[in-house]
Amino acid sequence: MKKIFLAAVFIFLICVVIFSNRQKNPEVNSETGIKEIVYNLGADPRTIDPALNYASDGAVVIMNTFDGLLRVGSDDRGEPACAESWEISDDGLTWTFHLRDGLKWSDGEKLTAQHFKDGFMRLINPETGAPYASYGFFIKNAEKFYNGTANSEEVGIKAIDEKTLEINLEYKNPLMLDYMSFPAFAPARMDIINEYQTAWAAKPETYISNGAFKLESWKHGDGGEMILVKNPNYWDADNVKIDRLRFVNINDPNTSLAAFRAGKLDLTSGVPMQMLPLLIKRGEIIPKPALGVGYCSFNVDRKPFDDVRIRKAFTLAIDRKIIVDKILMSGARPATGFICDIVPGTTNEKDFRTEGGEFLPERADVEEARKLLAEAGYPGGKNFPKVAYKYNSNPGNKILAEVLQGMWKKNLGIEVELLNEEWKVFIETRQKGDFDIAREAWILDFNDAANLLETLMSASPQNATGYKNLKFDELMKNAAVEMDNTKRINFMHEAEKILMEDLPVLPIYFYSSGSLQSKRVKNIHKSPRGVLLFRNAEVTE
Amino acid sequence: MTGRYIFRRVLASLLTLFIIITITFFMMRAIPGGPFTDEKAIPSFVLEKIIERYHLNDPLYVQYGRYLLNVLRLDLGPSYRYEGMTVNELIANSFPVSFEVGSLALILALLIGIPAGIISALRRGKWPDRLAMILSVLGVTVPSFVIAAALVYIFSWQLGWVTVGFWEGISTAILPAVTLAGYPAAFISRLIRSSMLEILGQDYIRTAYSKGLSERAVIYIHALKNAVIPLITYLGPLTAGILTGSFVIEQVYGVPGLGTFFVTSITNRDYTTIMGVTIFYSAILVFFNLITDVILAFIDPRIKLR
Repeated sequence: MKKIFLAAVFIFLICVVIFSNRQKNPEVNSETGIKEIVYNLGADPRTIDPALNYASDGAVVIMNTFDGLLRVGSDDRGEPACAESWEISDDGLTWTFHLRDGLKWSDGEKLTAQHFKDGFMRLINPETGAPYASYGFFIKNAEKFYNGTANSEEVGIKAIDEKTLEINLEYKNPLMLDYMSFPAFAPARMDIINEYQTAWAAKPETYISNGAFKLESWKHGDGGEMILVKNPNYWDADNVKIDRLRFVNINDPNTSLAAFRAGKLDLTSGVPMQMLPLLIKRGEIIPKPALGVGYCSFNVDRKPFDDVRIRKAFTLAIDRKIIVDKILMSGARPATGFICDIVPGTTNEKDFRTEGGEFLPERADVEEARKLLAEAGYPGGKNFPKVAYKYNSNPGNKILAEVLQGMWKKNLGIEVELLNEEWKVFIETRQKGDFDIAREAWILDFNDAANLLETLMSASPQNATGYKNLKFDELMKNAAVEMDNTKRINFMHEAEKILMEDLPVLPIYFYSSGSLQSKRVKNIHKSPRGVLLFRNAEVTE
Repeated sequence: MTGRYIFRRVLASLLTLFIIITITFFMMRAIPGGPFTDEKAIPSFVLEKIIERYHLNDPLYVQYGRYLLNVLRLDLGPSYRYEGMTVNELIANSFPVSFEVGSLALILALLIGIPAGIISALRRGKWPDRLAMILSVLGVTVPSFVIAAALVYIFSWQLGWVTVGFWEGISTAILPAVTLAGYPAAFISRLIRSSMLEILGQDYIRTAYSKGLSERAVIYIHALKNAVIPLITYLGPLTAGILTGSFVIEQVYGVPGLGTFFVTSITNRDYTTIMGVTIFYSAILVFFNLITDVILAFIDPRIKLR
């Protein structure tokens, strides 16, 4: 007995000695005077390489570590950053950007126009495999270079001197300044990238950046964390008031909430779905409109949804108000059109949605829906072919699917089968068009209606519906090169109108976002497209 | 004799690993979707470039062959999910954390399970036995995520003693270790109890008593030595499992361990990580099973090394 007891104590002591080394971890000891903000990034980003990233978690890191010619301002449009001024030629096809004096990288190296050229060339270089490569195709010969029919010399980017960058365009780009603030258009250090390949963006030693913060450490995986520190070489460093950002990866919403309650997190949007209504009611989370739309796609190539009357009947049978008020309870708004709130309209006074008006009722229009269904040959839903609604498996999607199913059953007398698939399986199913109705969601990359409307152009890789309307395509193509903003937005209003008559999609709700934020931090800019900017953030204690 | 036995077992282990690699490789590639399938559809011409870069467009048997050769060089390849990281690095970063939590849990499980088992066997049918068995039924049946949620609620929400979601060494390892220890502790106590009961009824124990040995000596020297044999058999797979982490527990407590990768690598279709963690786990499992067999052969002369 004694022996066993002694052995147990001995083993335990050894363990304590071994493990107690961990206590010397510097992150544990709170250093005094360091102004730090801890933010729950959720998933660990796949990459923080500006040319390779296409996810919003990666964009949060890139937009706080890199600055483009322009950067995203507090109104969510581009504002001068590395470039302090620019000129446009009369034909709108040549842009000349003038860089600020004394720009530097985080390692102290001088930042020149050539670095911007390198960054843009890297984006459109086919060898890079950049997901947003096509965003650069407005640059002269960029698409040809991508496809191998032009050489790099012919691409319309010129570093005239250290401080001047000239960009020649293939076609006029009304959103030029927004593009220049998009993270994919960051400068690049080819000396480092050529040496380390894609690994340059995985380690702090090689992740040299030019923004408000620089990467200090990165522990990958769930439960890992990334530490960013203030970049003293940042041109606007005087306005950066915090010393350190700690981005942690807590995926479990309950854990995230518990950590916030314990005062360990300053900011998190990870809260359990069931708790959200309560937190909103208590005023702890104040939901704001976000640039996202939850909707369904119809497969217009397949019976019965090739008939617009049936698509319309299904659309009108949905009570959007009940969905947002009783089911989501997240501050989302019923989608009365395809483009969500806060997307800019022709003037500053009204947004795109207010200008465009309401195409769909908030409540179900059961009478009209039944009438349309009867006209299409299925009075009371009789003899309606078997159709299915497909969604990717997660609890929120499941509830929404069941609600939609119930509304279609009650209002149209149609039994829609529910099929759920694992995420990546679902994406493939959807891209192959193997569905009748599929769950969809879109978060806008730019605060512009084109970003969402373009996904339904017949040639868009994102268009899974099979929808093809030449008039719609033409309006969107016109909008893409129209420099006059009023005209451009009006093209898109017309396009949206056509879309809402054809209804290849069934808009349900406009996103909202909300997060828990501790009182000790302020001035974190939360962009409605899901990106957070910490460069003006403050800690008050 | 022993040397030859171990040699043969190692060969068999390598064969097992080879079969595991082969089955996992082809099953994994049969799942729809790939590492670069994503919501925002990447234009097909870009996707082709990426696939080319990772040589995923080669015939499957070529990829399989290349993979095997790399594994022989202990190179598990680049992760498809974490751009610029290798699977070797991912494992090297996360395994020590899982090892730390796991070994603490293992010690806890043994320190609780063995005494509980002995006491309930000696006090069979009395209240200590009943209490221990009720607890062990709970330990075996209540899933770890329920225990985890309950512990978080009590110690983090109500008492505020620990914070979860952050990995800060030993202090944050305690709750995960307790949660992880729940099932094995319960299982071990039942295992010890039943084998103790069986042994206490045997002739040699009666002989020992009749020699005039004290109860302590009989139990701790004669009975326990044989009662731990089933435990050692169980310890092999248990150690392998517990040291490589648990998805649920790592998610709930925010532990940056290896367990998470067993699940997320599959949902991400991160082929190389799926293979990497599978091989790593299998190797550890095979290793501990081998160790177990060797130890058993030394302890119990009835088991022959053949």
